[in-house]
Amino acid sequence: MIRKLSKALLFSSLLAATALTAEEAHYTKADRIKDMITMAEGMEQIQSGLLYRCKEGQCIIKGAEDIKSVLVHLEKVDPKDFLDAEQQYAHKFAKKRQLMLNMYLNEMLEELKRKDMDAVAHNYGLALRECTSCHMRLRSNK
Amino acid sequence: MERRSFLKITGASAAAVVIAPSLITQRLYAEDGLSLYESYEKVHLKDADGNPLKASTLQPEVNYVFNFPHIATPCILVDLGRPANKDVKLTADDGTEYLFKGGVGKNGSIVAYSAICPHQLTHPTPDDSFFQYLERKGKTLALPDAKEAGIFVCSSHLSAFDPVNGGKAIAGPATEGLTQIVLEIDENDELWAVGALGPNRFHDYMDAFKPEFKKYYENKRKAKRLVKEEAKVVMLKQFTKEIIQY
Repeated sequence: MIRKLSKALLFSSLLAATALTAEEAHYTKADRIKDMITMAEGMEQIQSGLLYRCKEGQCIIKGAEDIKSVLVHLEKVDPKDFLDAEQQYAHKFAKKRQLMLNMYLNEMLEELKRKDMDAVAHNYGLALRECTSCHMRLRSNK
Repeated sequence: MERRSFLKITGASAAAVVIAPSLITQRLYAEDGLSLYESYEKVHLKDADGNPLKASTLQPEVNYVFNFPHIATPCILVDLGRPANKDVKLTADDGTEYLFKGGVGKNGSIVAYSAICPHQLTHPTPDDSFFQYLERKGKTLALPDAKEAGIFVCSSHLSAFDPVNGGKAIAGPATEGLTQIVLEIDENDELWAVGALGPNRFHDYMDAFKPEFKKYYENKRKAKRLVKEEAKVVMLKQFTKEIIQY
């Protein structure tokens, strides 16, 4: 009985330690680059869906979902982990851009369900503006 | 209708438009020939308790927020604590000139501006505000070398605007100034919003934030409605959960 309890306790401790370590894992520059590439590819997918034939808007949906998956990930990461040193003060600005980008992507998908392609294109443009807004500010992309 | 009557009416209408083009465009041109003034139904500014807001009760250099001319277009009202300059000539991006006539109140120090940054439409929301008037002793990255602030700052991309001189853009990527909300003070010291002076991005704003309007106002149609009769004024720190200023 005591042996079983000890094993259970050891197992729980290991699990907790793993989880704790995972939460504290540092978001590296390589991770950021990978995520940004995913987002850029997502935007390309959406554009393909607007410009070319894409069955039932699947390109648009995939592109949006890929970007949103990165945004979900970024929500758990401290922006200070992926901002350059001189831009770390602007972490709330970065968070706001994530929120707005997510908002426009959701709106775009809603408009796609309504088959309003003008509105889809409009929201794609607004989403793109959020990307450039962040890049303009945080990467001195003037 | 007889042909003669039709021609009379058409002729009279054409003459009226030639004399006063504003009949068609709904814009009133300033007496001095400089333009870009748009008048709206006069709106009584009231405090959070629903009482008329008295000009003399405004705390100096404190941000007050009210919505005007649309239900979803926020404005910031502030007593600058010093007189705003009169007859400041400003120019919109398309070259149109307009004239800022100064502030109101005993010292001409009370001004109001649309709190929508003309650059990328950053504005205060109930959740956060990256846009505000920064008191003179404040510091901002928009003007790091300035001895004193006393300016409007948009902390999204660090544009800055001079409220003493009609909301003119003085730093950052914004190329146009803020839209001035024209105020009047009546004999009871009560404040009224009556119009908007300068280029405005209300139309672009309405186009850009439809999902946000769903969250705060149910839909874009309600957000776009003009404010009628009265507008509630609250401090910015009461209007929004978080003020971010760089």
